[in-house]
Amino acid sequence: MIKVEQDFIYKIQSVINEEKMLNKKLLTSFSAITLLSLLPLSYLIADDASLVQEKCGICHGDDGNSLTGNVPSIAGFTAASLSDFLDEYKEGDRKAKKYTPKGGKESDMHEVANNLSEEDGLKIFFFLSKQKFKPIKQDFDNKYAKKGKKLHKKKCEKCHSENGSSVEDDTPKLAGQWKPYLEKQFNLFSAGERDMPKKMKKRFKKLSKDDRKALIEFYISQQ
Amino acid sequence: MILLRLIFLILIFFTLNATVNAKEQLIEESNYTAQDLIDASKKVETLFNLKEHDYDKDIGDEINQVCAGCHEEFGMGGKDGKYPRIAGLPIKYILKQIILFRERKRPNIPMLQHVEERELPNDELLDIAIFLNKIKLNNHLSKIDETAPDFDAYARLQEAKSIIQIGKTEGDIKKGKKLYKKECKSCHGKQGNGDEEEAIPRVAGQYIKYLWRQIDMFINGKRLHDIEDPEEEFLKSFTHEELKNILAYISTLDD
Repeated sequence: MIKVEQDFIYKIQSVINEEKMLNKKLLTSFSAITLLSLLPLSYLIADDASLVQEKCGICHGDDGNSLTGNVPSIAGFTAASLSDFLDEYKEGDRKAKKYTPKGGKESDMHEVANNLSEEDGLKIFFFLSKQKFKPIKQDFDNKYAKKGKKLHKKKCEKCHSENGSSVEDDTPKLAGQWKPYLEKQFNLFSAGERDMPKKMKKRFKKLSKDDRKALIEFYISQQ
Repeated sequence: MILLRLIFLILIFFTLNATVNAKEQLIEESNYTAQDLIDASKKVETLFNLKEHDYDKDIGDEINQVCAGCHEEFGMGGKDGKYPRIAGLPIKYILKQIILFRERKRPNIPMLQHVEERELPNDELLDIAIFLNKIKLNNHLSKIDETAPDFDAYARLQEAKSIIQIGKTEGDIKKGKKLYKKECKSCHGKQGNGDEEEAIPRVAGQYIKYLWRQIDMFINGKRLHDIEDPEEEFLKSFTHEELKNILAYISTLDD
């Protein structure tokens, strides 16, 4: 009787052991298959990154964080806003300026926009929208920044929310952006060379030179 | 007998004339100022405590029986915009408009009889505002199997009644889209659904004829568009063509 039970227990144990071995085999082969199948996916992700690098990286940085003051960082902008900005250049609503990046050839945003296929564009906008915007470390004037903070809250916060750092309403990043770029754009706005929504124009026109400086100092102070 | 009928007819004629004149007079005399709008907004904040209010759905439903007379059972309005869609509007926006009607600041004769405080006390006003705000309208009927054993015919009927589909109006949609995104999107939203927090009404899924009437009122100073820029109505700076294009784009937003 005891022997029968012992045999039985022994049989069950060996079956359990066999199953464990089988499970282990299954697990290893399953995980191997999963990893292998992810390989083409990694190509896809790598593909988008290399596309961005190829089309935008030389000026805007490979992850959209620009290394030069004349070119804005565009990491973390919403895909919709990037698409809209490019459309503005493409359709001539925004004037493009000729620029030669370090180690690259001269071009301008109008040319870039026209040489970008819709398919590539979508991949690029989506990729860039997922990148993290790195605020630039720049020297700033504290006194002016304080004045700028008050001005921003009164006149700009409604659309450029969170002190100019929100991209929620498809607005560009103002907080932590390059100072030379901001200064250039403010000058273009003042001179009427860059278009603004009517409600923005109304408020912008009333800004004095001092006000504009204050706002810029406020934006770059957010690091 | 003929004389009696004649007198009757003349009386009717004068009454009609009087109502038409009264309406024009009301619109003429509406001296809408920025301060009025600020006051109305303040009243909305102080008279109504949204957080602590105990919403009574049944009261909302009961009051809606009256609204439905013109605005239809599910608040979609009708007569091609003679009665606007009121379903899904921001709560504070509804409250503000009722207050403006009460104070004769926003001209609207048909609404007057329904908005007096003795007719519609503030507690109940809050209930109807919440009730209307919660109504969801669709732009098409969902696909379901009507032969399925658990098919609910009544629910299907109610669903069929809660549909609003604004037809495309004439205009350049592409140009309208550009203009809308630049000038209107920041307040009225990317999809034209307005903003619940800021009490900004939807423009998508609203009758285009109704929107045109409001634009006219904004331009003529009979209604105030934006409290931030009360002195200058920025709609005045658009050409008729541009407005037409914007509305053509808006008419596609609910599709």
